[in-house]
Amino acid sequence: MVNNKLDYKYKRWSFNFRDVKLMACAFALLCLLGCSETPRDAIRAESLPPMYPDYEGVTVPVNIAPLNFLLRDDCEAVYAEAKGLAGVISISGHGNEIKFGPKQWHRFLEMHQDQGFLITVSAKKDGQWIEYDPISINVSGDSIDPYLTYRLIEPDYEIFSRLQIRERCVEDFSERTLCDYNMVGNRCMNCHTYGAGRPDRSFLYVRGEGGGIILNDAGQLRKLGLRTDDMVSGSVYAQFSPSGRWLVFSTNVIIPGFHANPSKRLEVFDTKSDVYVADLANNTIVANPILADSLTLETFPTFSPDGKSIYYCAAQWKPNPATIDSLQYSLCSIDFDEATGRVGEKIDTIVEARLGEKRSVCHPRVSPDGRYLLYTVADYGTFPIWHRESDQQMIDLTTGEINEMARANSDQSDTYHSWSSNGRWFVFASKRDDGLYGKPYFCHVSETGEVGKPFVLPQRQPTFYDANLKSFNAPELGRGQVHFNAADVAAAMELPAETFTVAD
Amino acid sequence: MPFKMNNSSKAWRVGVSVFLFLFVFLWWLGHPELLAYHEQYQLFLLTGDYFINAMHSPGGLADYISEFLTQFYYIPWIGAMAIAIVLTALQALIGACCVKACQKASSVLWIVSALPSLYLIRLMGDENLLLSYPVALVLAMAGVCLTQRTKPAPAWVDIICYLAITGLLYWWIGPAALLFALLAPLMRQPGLKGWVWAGAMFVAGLLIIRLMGMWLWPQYPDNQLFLGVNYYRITNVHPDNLIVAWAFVVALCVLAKVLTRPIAKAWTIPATACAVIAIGWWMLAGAYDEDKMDVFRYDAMVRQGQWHDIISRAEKRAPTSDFCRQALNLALAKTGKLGERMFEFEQNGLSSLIEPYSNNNTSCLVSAEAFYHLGMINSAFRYTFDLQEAIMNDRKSGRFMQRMAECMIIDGRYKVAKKYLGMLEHSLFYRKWAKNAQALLADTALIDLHPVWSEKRRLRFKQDMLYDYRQVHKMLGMLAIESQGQNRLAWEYFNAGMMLTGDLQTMAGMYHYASEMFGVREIPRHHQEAIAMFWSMGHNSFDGLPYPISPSVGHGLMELAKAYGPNQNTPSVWLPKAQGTYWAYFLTRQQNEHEYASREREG
Repeated sequence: MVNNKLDYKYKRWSFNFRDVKLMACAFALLCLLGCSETPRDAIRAESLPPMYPDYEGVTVPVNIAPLNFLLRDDCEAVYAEAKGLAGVISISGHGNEIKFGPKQWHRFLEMHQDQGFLITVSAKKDGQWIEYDPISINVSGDSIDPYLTYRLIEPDYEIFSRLQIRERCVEDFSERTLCDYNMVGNRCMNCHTYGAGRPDRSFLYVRGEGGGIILNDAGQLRKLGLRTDDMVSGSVYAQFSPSGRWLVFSTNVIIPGFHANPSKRLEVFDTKSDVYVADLANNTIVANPILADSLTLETFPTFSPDGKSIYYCAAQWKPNPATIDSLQYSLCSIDFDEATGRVGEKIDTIVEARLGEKRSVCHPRVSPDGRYLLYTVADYGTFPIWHRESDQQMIDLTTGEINEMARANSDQSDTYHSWSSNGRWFVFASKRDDGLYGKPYFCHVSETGEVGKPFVLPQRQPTFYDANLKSFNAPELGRGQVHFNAADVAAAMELPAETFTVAD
Repeated sequence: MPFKMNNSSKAWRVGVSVFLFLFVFLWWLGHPELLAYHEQYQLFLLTGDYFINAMHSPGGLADYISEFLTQFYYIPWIGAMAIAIVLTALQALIGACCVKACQKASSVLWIVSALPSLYLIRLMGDENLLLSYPVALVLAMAGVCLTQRTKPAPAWVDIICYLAITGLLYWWIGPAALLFALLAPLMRQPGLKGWVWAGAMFVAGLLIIRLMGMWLWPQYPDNQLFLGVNYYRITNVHPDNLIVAWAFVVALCVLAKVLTRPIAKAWTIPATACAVIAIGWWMLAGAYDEDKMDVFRYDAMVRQGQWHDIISRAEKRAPTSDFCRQALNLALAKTGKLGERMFEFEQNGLSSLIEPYSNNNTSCLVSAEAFYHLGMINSAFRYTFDLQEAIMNDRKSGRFMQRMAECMIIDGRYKVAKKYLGMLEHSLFYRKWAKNAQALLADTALIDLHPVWSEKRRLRFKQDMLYDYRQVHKMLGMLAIESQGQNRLAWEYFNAGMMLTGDLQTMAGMYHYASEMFGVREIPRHHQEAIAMFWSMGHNSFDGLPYPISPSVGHGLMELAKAYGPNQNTPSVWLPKAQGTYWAYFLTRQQNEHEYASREREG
């Protein structure tokens, strides 16, 4: 009896090599059947595919990661054929998703550099294949800087939690964490900023007690306490000079307010703000009364690529929030001498604020060749990410001509831009998809200053953005991978903050 | 010779487990508010991504199982049953291990094995202790039981197996894997060898955690790696009690290991049972903080809209916190009794109505609900959004996501609403609601026919203003006026806010205009008291007062004035005459402010 039981158990759990082969064949057959469904007897839809993300008519860099996408439709299978003059790739997808093989994709883009190609999408619904009109994609031979850093943050109001700064390779889907809330006591952190896209020169902020600027100085991390007693606050918005020796920054007293009207959400405005320049070589701060006028709010400073000018935004001080809707900032510039750290005496107004017009200027960023200056305009205030009317504009600094960039802007907030080091691309944060969660969009700028249709950062899973509840804040493009990680930042936080004194 | 369980012993064991199951089930059935509290701080999604995401952290499988079970708290009796299953399983596994190690005292050990489960019930009175911890203990003990029942192998095979299973368990259940590392060799290997191996494996377990932390989870600090990432909702807090529970299990197993003499006397079994019941009683009596449970009870009732139950509860046990007072005042307002009854209960300034925002996941729950009912949709969304963000273990919330979707639908921001609804559609208990809402979004004209959403849409602010907490009661007045008499709740709240802040001038100034707009026929008692009080500050009689004041209110104020005048600093004289009126609140508040000011002056 006992033996019989053992035999039974043995038989139940045992199988021989023939079974393995049979199972392998069956599995292979299933895979083959599951993966190779191609359209038959398709009917034409006479419309573009309901594709997300929207890639119709976009210009992409030759080194971009596969543009995986999904169809916003219930379908049993989907099939896509990318076809250009130099070749074809075809992909069958399960459900409604199309994911390209990375090697095949990059080879295909290389072959179609400075050309366009078409993607024809077919979907199987209720057993019937439907073929949509093809979408066109242009491939620019201008590469984009391969790394993108951003802060992941929920678009919250008064609290923050679980912030991370991450670095993503835009040529594939690899991502790593540069600063993690777990490692810095769940403190607030601000975005990672490169100096001219250099991976060995960058900084980020960790706020709160014991925090400071974490400076990536040629790969070595330093913690800076960039504040003197005369300042209204610690540093808030900052940018490197071309040599990396100088950091121009603003100090801002920032007040939040809440809108009653459902079309608006949150207002963040400054009651005081000034601009200073820090000498990172000697730990001194250049304070010039012309940039720290108590009757003027100065903010968002940035250097020109030749280091001879500082661009910033300035508005006349007003009692706020009572007059918040008339708080408008002009784009100004002032001379700077990188050799001595001296700030000029004369302020030039580049773009003037105009009441009644969408002309409050924020976030100026000069292109690497110094020709264009990209900025955001909103009805009023200094926080365009919460202003759905905010758009980007680009001024040609040689002619003064303003490009309103209709193709790049949307009916939701578009702001926080950063140039690629070759000046042919910029990335910006846009809330165009749902009005709440910001995503990084890339936009091509031609040699003549023509701006293309932007596209969102591609993700391995096309459903990624549907389930993602974080905003990608202040995306920045970098030429290479930075040489530190979250553990290094946590270690740098343990350092005493370097102090700064006011320069004579 | 194999040990055989006699019928009496078997009956005791089954009896103990069934008794424990029923006890745990009934205990939790008696605490539906705590179940509701837990349920609202997670959103378990039936998607592959959710599972993969859970498995990215140490203890991921225990978290996943725990969250799967916690979603059933939505229906209290199923939730109570889920906890009963987990805690009974823990008892049975500890019992099985002990009995296997010491068969001579099987029934006694089986009874004693209920103690860790009873201790865990006590610990679960802490609202931040997650089910992950009991689940992790169950899985660790399951590992111990299984290895205890495997045949001996060569020492090197055993060592490799212990190390591999400890590593695997650490990934699945977190540092509770150390329980396996310690107990598996102890309970399996005989004699001294068991003790030596247990010590060595425990140290090896610590090393495994160190190495896995370095290689796989560098983002976690050491305290989370060694004490648990998600056993406790506040991720950087690790109560000592969790280690005590862990040690409790170890102690029982050690007891089974060292017991060598049979316990055969007939009285030992009932005596042990009595002792365990007595210890359990001692552990559980008063273990749950009643004030805290009241907070959760009020919150659950507000969520369910049980306004009359809230008032009944407050009548039986006076609210002890601003949170409970906010719930009570909302219930009074929803039943049209705020102006009549609010000062029958203790009040504490504007925060008895609306909470200023604070960075935690509970304080503003009622205020978020109040904003929604009032039609301040932006504020309801803001409070709810930040509440979700404040959940300390990085989870989302079905309740909050549902409310946020509602707010976005009311505001016409359908794309964001769809995003939230898309996530809710993957849950078990919010799916149906989300699908119905999605169907309305397909034809947005239907939203204007929705009984609640269309009303809220009508009641929203029509003008834009920037405001913060200090202006919130004035904003309520503007909301009431803007509604042209439709938003009675805002009108009630506005008057309550004015009375609570003592701004009687603004209240009296607006009262005539607004009471006509709202068709007030009989002025509520507390409003009469406030207006009479304001009038009496500038007049010697009620002649000329433009509002009808009842004789009892007029007489009451006169009596109070007589008592108060000469005895201002002796509240025991005048306070009884003002009991249950607005005057008691007003005069006490005034006195407190004076005392505070004089203390400030004195430095």
